[in-house]
Order: sequence, then structure tokens, then C-alpha cells
Amino acid sequence: MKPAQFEYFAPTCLAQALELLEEHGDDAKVLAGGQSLMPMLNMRLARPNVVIDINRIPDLDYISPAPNGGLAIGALTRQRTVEKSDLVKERIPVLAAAVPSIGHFQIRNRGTMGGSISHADPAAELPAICLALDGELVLSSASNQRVLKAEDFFLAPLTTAIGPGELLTEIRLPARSQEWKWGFQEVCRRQGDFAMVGAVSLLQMDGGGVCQSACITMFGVGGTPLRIGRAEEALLGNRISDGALQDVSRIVSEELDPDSDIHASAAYRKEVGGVITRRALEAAINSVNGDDRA
Amino acid sequence: MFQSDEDISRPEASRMVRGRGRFLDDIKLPGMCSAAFVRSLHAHANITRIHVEEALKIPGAIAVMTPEEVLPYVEPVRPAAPGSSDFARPYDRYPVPPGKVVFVGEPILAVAAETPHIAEDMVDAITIDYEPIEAVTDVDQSLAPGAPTIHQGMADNIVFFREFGGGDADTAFQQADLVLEKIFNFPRQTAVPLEGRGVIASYDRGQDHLTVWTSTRAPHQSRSVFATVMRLPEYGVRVIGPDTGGEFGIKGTGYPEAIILSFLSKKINRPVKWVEDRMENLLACAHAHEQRVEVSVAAKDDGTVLGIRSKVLVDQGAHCLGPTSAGLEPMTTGQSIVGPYRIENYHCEAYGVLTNKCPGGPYRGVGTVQGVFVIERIMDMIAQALNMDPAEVRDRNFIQPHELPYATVAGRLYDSGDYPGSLEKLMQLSEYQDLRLAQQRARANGEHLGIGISCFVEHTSTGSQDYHKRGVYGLPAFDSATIQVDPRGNVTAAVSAQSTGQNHESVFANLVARELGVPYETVKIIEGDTDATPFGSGTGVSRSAVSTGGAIRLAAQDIKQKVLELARFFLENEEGELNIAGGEVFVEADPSRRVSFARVAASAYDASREVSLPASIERGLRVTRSFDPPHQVFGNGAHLAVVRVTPETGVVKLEKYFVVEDCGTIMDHVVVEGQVVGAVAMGIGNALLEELRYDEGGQLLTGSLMDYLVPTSLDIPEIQTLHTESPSPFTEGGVKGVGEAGTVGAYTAVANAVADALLPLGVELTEPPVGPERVWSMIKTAQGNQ
Amino acid sequence: MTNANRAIKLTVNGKEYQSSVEVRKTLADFLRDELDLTGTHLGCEHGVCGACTILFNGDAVRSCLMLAVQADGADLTTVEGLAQGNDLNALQRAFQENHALQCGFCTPGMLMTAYAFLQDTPDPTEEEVKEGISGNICRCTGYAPIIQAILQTSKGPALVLPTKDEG
Repeated sequence: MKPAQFEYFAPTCLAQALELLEEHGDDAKVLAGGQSLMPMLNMRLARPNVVIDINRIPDLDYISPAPNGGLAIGALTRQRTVEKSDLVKERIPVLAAAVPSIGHFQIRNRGTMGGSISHADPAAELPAICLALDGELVLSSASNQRVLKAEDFFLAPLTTAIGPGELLTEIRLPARSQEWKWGFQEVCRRQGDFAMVGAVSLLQMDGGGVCQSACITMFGVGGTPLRIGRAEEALLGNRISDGALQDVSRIVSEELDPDSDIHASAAYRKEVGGVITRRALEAAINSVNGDDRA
Repeated sequence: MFQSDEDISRPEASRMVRGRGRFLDDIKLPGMCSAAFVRSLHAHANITRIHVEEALKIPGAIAVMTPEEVLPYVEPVRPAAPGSSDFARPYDRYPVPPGKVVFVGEPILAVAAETPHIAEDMVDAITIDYEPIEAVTDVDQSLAPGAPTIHQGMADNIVFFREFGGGDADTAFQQADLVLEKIFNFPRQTAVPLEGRGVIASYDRGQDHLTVWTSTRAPHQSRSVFATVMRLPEYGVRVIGPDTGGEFGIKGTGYPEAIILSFLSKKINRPVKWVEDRMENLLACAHAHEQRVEVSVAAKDDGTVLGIRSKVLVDQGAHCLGPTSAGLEPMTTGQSIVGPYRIENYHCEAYGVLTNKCPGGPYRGVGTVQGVFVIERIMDMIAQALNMDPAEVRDRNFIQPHELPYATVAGRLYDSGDYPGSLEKLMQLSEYQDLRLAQQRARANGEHLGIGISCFVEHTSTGSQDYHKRGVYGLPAFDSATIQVDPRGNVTAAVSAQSTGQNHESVFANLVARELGVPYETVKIIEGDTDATPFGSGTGVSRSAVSTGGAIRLAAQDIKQKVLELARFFLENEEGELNIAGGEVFVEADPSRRVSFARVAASAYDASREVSLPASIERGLRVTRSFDPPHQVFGNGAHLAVVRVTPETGVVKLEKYFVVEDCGTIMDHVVVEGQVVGAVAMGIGNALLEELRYDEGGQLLTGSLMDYLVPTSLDIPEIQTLHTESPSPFTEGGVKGVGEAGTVGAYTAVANAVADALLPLGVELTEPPVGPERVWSMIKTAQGNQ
Repeated sequence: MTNANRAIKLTVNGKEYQSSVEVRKTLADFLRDELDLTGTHLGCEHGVCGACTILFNGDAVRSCLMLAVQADGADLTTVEGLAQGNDLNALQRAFQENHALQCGFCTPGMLMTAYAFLQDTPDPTEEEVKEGISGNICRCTGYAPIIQAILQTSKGPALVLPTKDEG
């Protein structure tokens, strides 16, 4: 399996990359970590005329503290860097917990934050995390820069709101640390595989154990990561009892309308979606470290 | 003194850890170019036109090889011909489509280019006009009245049919207290060796000679196929098998790509290399295991099985890969269903049915995995119906050691083994009673812990007698060894087997060293090159320890006899008993009188200054012997798996695994352990992960390793093993094969464990629990039925 | 097509190379075809099996998912670079001693992954080793002896790469 021919550019600064993107438009694909694009090139499922390799652009690889207590992560930051970052563990522990589920460490050595989020695989973890955190995506073009909220960014399978000539350059994530409880759960065929169904839950509880804020997103159950607003509403203002968890589970199953594929049917995803959400919430409530893998 | 197998250095390992293996794709020849294949996009279609002009314009393109250029010059292979198999229906298989294609991925034409990239560019630039025909994609469609016939000259799509058995099944069913009728389904799977197929074909037009390097387990059989198909004498073909990165059954013979490439090499007068990529491997190499088995079982209320009726339907794909493959899975499954049990009434109808999918071929555990699944699930179902422990039901039915050799009603002869003893050892190894107690506690806690057992026999090393009994002729079932001692006492053993990961280089060298009494370091094994090795069947059917090992033992005995005879010239014409140890020939009665093996060897070549042999003594020290296993010999095993199932997600976690294994006399403990553990891992994958799926049009949906899943390190629990030996009375040294037993045991032990875990939910498991979706669905179905 | 070849300069196993490569050529193919370092193997070319694992500036990566041009200026280590001349390193010896290979096709990728893993986690538990090699497929051994070999190596002194190319 060898790639078809393409023209190759390796810009050494962001401006150059953006010019190239503007010039080549739909003819071009951006090569970041390569863990998603290279298999497609090798299998000739993708045959771009132009490949723009952005790995040589300096200053796109950073994890910086943001004034609001969160983080600004450069798009070219390797997933492995995020995995090992003390800053991430401290400020956004749910992200630190989710990243090890992405493939295997060799993949994370090359795979980037921006690459995974731009690729927008419906079964990927990072888009769902981004959505759960109400993250913001910074899109740069030769003439402009704009900031999109995560909820406006993921449009369809493998399709985002990145426009012609635009490149994702930064991911902004607010802090969700000690005052938040978090849970991250997924069901995979094997560890490291894409999830068949996954859920992220973030809960802010007050001193009396009443839920003040809730964020539930899911991956693997639709064309994009989904936020289940009805389930969140059911939790707000309540203590989270077993009954409440069953309700949430049922609501999630009702809300989901997934597709079937060879790994799981729509019926499975619909029902197990409810189960996995319940588990993510249980994990959030019960443990100090909310991470567990199905 | 021979080396302990823990201590021997293994030359094959030494070069592999340095990255100095020489696999097919590592070989570079002067003038070599790259090939790729244009493959069918349709499951069943007439080819009306092929357009190659654009491809030939690409810079770096060299040539194409179309079906019209090959067809006039080839003999078809008759994979299921009378005379090759009495029960198979004949059809002609050509290496290129004779006007129509019969499966998606079928190779239609080959291209040659300066690089593999350009070869693929050429493939992209070639277009083919097809007229699609209705395709049949499962056994029922294929057998339906009015179904399109896949191969010309056949009346229908049944490529193999045999009815066999013995005893009186009707009476058995009349006498039964319990009758079970079940249908078992098995998913389609494939071997996925880490290295795919590869071929370098080099045709020398001056010599009219073809050399083919190919990743294969059977170089001599491959050579025969080339010679037959291409109408060359055997001496006109040389096959060289390099280091091979695993094969598990599928790198045998019968692949059309190699033939097409040989013609291509001849056309362009250059060596041509093709390395299969993973997508081609999954799409078009060899598929296996897809079957439906319908059984009726008659039992008494004490758990004794009185009789079985079975119907085995194998989805054979569009072609059979070789003379045995039409009947390979149908017969192996049909004969395995009786297991290690005393079942005296049996009737089996075994079918091989063609469909428009990738051709069927062998994958470790061929047919036995399904047969064992059937009978072991039946044993558990009987236990469930009669409220007995599954181990106890098996004990009721085992053939006892003193009854062996035992002729089964399914047509096999079990040579030796202690089946109840293996289960007993398994009970102890696994602390079975404690496991059942743990299960009770878990169940009280609402957890779904399951314990699964499989007891089985595994046929190994089929010889010609057994092939004839099956109605298969014309298939070499012997292996050979040529042992030569050179003038300085070093020893080579050239064998017909080919290692594809079985460590022949060290195992057989150690065997030669032990048999001759010489140091291990002085022995070299030669494999893989038909010019340098004697004719034989090759590797497969877990045969090498028996058949190649047998040939080595016989040849070594002959060499030893001659060496002792020559040694007498060095020992004052000593007439007493002589022996060899540590590289020295010595007088048994007075070991101080000795002469080195090397000094004796020199005399055979007139290279000795001490002794001149009389002219009457044949010069040289070289013997070729063959061994044809007089019977298949049967290893046996007992496996136990412990699983935890989460019903709400269908996820299965394998927690513990225990193996009791009996492969007769063990030649190399390290290698046997490695084969067992590796095979168990493969069986775990078969039971929980592996499935090839097609859509209704015959397009493969599981086209990459992201969709066809094989086990990683995290899928395999600790495997505890215990080895026991029941030597075979039929082989040299009492050895039996072992390569497939682990897979056979694990496929079913894991499935039985999942079934056991789900018993409280009313689930009846009749197929391997591949994937959480399947387990979840079974539970839903059971809940719906309540 | 314009721009089909690029000049690259890189270090592999301590030795410097200069070459002109087709831009679409993967790093794995470059190592195997141009530099004759055929120890790195191809098992899938879509990033699943790990047979092509090498060290790229010290990190374990799937060389089938990188372009050769991306290695311009990089420092690579392949399986051929583990031994000091004829002397195997402790990890390679441990693989031999524990029968951690049968056909040998996954072995180079396993060794490179294991090496990188031990650099990162010098004193691992068995579970951590299992996870560490979970991105490398082996079809022969069932993984147990590979895990043992890595654990055994972890108990000894830290592995180092040879100081200059003596391969």
C-alpha cells in the first residue's frame, strides 16, 4: 500500500502555511501527526494533490496556563506531551485521564491535539472532551483569526467548521479541577481501539451534594460528539441518587439516534450509551480519580 | 551429551533480534522490479474489456500481464478432481479468470513497474468493464434452487459431499432419555500472519528455468504446482523459501498470483517482486472457519451420549486452494465432533459449498475448532439439562486409556492418550472446586463469572494412509531428511519441512545431535530450497515433529550405523558394541578406546591419513530417508478458562487460563510451551475478536486491521500450563504434533466460559462470543424469550 | 509532477546519511530500500501492528506513518542499532533467553517499543509492561515470554545505545 503522488510542502512558519492553504484550498490536506492521514494516504483512500506538512512550524507546540485558570494548548502539541503534563493533570484532570485511551503510546508520540480534533472522528475521545469542557478552537487564516466554540465546531463525521484557508492553531480549555467531579468511560473492542460508545461527565456539586452544573458528552454514538442537554437538566438542582442515575441513563438512550457499523449496532449504541453515561456519572461521584475503562 | 533445550542457543533467534532475518521483502536481486495486481471489484461478473493503455504510459511502467497472455500456456489445477479426492466435485481452476471473476479481490492481471509505488499507480490507471452476475454470498443462497453456478462444468455449488459414520443412530435416538437439537454457527476468520504473502519470480529464458522465492511452508509442493501448471519439468523450477514471518496454514500452495508473476518475469526477462499488503491479505489470501453445523444428540439421563447426527455446511468461498481443501474443513469438523468420547453411533453429512467470497484455506485448528466447539458445548448443555457438573458429564463419556488405540465411529484411530487423566490434572491445576465456590459467591453478588472447559483430541501429522481413507490421492504425505557428514565431521541435515516460526533450526539440530551423539554446534539444518533439500510434504497439519522428525531419526540411525562400521577400522577391527557420545565413537565395554567422529568422517572421503578404506566401501557419508506417518497421531488437551462478563455492555474479560497438554514425547520443552501459549492466544482471538464480514453484494467490510481484530498483549491473561506425555506407538520416538492444539482448546474453553457466565440469564450460546455486541444480543434474545 | 524528490540528511544508528527521496516514500520504505536496513518490517502499513517501530529523536514511532522527508535532520535508531558490534544488549539477550520470538517478524518492532518503554518506565510492573507493548502485535508467542523478557531486562542496569555505529 503506497501513497499516490502528491506535491509536498513543509512550511517553516505559520504565515507560509496559511498562504499555502489559501492557494491550494481543497486540493490540499494538512499533515500533522499523521496517525490518521498517513493510513489514508497509504491505502489511497485519500489522494490529495498537495500535502502541507506543518510539523516544522515553530511555536505551535505549547501548553500554557490561561488567565481563567484553564489552558491554551497549541495545535501541534503531541498527545504524549499532554499525557505527561503536570499542568494538565492539575488544571484539567479529565483530559489527562482520557488521553491514555488514545491508541498506544507510539501513536501519541506523533499524534497531535489539533490533528485529532480537526480530524473529528465520531469515535474519538478528544472532540468529546473538548465539547464537555466548553472548549474554544482558534482558527487562523492568512487574513484572519477567529475563535469558535466547540459546540459550533463539529459538524458531521470527519467534518468540522474549519473553512477554506484555515488552520486550527490553538485549543482553549477552561479549568475543571478540584471543584469539579469528572468521569470518563468507554467501551472498546480492545484497549486503545476507537470506542464503540463513550461518555464524559463533569459535575459541579455544592456543599450539600446538590448538582449545580452538569456536562455530559458522548462519542461513538453519532456523527459528531453529542452533548445530552436533557440528561444534564435532569441532574441540575438534585442530589444524585441511584434513581437519578437510572433516569439519566434512560434519557440518554431516548435521545440517542446512532448508526450501525460492523462493530456495534444502533440498538447496542443506543442502550449502552445510557449505561456508559450512568457509569461515567458513578465514576464521577464515587472516586477521587474518576477514570475507569470498561 | 545433548543440550538441554533451555540452554541451546538458537541461531534463528540470534539473527532475528539483530534484525538480520531474511524475509521475502528483504531480498533484492539485480534488475528486480515490482509487481501489483488488478483485482476484481465484483463478486461475480463477466469481464468484457480490459483497458491498459493509460497504465503503460506512466513513467516507470514496464509491462502488464493479462489473462489472455496466460491462459493458453497453463494447465488448470483441478482442486477437487476425481483421483485427487473421491468425494469432491471437479472443476478447473485457472490462475487467471477465464472470462469471469468469482470473488471480490480475485487477481485479474499483474503489472510490473520500477517501484511498488508506480506499480500501484498503474493499477489505478487500469479500468475493466464488467457485466455483473448475481452473486451468492452465503451457503443457503448458494444451495437454493436456481442459484447461479459459480464454476463451469459443475451442476451446482457443492464442491464436496460425503456421508459417513457408523453404528446405528436410529436405535440410539429411540433409546435416548434426552435429545438435544442445536444449530451452531461459526464466523469467517483468517490467519493474519504478521508477514503477508510475497513472491519473487525470476525466469531465466536462456536456461528455460524458473526460480521463485516465496514465503511458504511447503516448498516442494509449491514447486510441483508451478511445474504442473506452467508445463515445466520439475528440474525447470526451483522454489526457495526464505525466513517466513508466520503463516498458520495459509502460506501453502495454490495461489494464482505466483503463477501470473512467473509468466510476467518470463515476458520482461527480469525478476519481479510482489509483496502482499495487509488489505490484499485480508481480502484475497485465504478465509476459513465459516460453517453451520446442525446436530442432534441422543443421551441417557446419566449423561452418557448414545449417538449423534450431524450436518456440516462449510462456506468454502469461490475456490478450493488445493487437492485436500475441498474436503478439509467438512471432513475435519465431521470427524472431530465425536471428540475424545466413546460415542458408538454417528452419522454425518459433510458439505463444502462454494460462494462468491475469498477462497477457503487452512487456518490453524482447521475444522477441529468447530467440531470441538460442537461437542464441548453439547457436553455443557447436557450438564445443564441433567443438573450435572460439566466435568462429570465428560468423565462419563471419555474413552479410557486402556481402550486405545481406539477406532472411532467417525473413521479415525486414536493412538494413545489419557483423556480422563488430562481432565483430572486440569481440575487440580485450576483448583476447580475453589473456582466453582468463587463462582457461587460471585453469583450471589450479582456478578457473572463463568468457567469453561474444553477437552479434545487434535489430529496431527496426516500420512498417506489416512489421506487415502479420506478419499484423497496424489498428495505427498511423507517428509524427508538428507543427513550428510562432511570430511571434517560437521553435519548438515537438509529437510523437506520449512520453518515458519517453529524453530526447526534449533529443534532439529538438537535432534540430529542427540541421535548421532555429536555436539549441537556442529549441526546445521538446511530448509527451504528445493535444490538443496529432499522432496517432501513440508510443514502443516502440525506434522513436522513427527514426519520430518521421523525422517531425521531414520537417516541419523543409518548414518550412525555407517560411522560405527567405519570406526572399526580405527579401533583395531573391534567387533564389540560401539556407540557415539560427545562427538567420540567409543567401545561400550572399554570407553577408553575411542576415536573422534571427525577422524572417522574424514576416512569416508579419503581425507584421512590414518585409515584408507577398502574400495568396496561406498565413499561419502550421506543418507536420505523418508517418513510417512502410518497413522495420524492424536495429541490431547484439557483447557479451562475463567471469564467475567458485564451483561449491560456485553464486554468479556478473560481472567484466568489453564492448559493441560499432551503431545506425546516432547522434543523441545521451550518450543512446545511457546507453541501452546501462542496457539492459545490465537484461539482467544478467534473466540472473542476475529470476524470477517461481507455485505450482501459480496464486498468485504472488514478490510483492515482496524476492523479485523487480533489479540494484543492486553487480551491475553496469564496462562498456566502443565505438560504430560502419552507417547504414540506409531511414530519414531513417540512424538506427536502440537502446533494447533492450543487454538483448538482455547476457542471452545473461552466460549464455554462465556456460556457458563450467562447461564443465569437463560442464554444458550451456539456461536463463539465474538464482540460485545454479540454477547449483548444473546442476552437480549434470552430476556425476550422469558 | 513537480517537487517529486527532496534531499534529506539524517543520522541513523549513529551514522550520517544523505539521500534524495521521493516525497511520497514512507520512512519505513526509505530505511528498508535506500539504507538496506531491512530489520524494520512492514506488517500493515496503517499503523496498527507496530512491526515498523523505530526511534525518532528518541521517541518510539510507527515508521510506516511517517514520510522519509519528515526525517530530514532527525536522529533515528532502528533494531540494527541496538547491539554494540556483535554484542547484543541486555534486552536482545533477554528475548533470546526467554524464547520471546518464534518467527521473528514482530521482533524488531517489539524491541524498539520495549527499549523506548523502559527508558520511560525503568521499573515497571507486569501490568505496565503489558500495556507498554499493547501497540505491537505478535501472532506467535502469545506475549507472555516477551513480557518476561522485558521485566527481566528492567531488573538489570539501564539500557544504553551504542556510542558509534559498529553494525
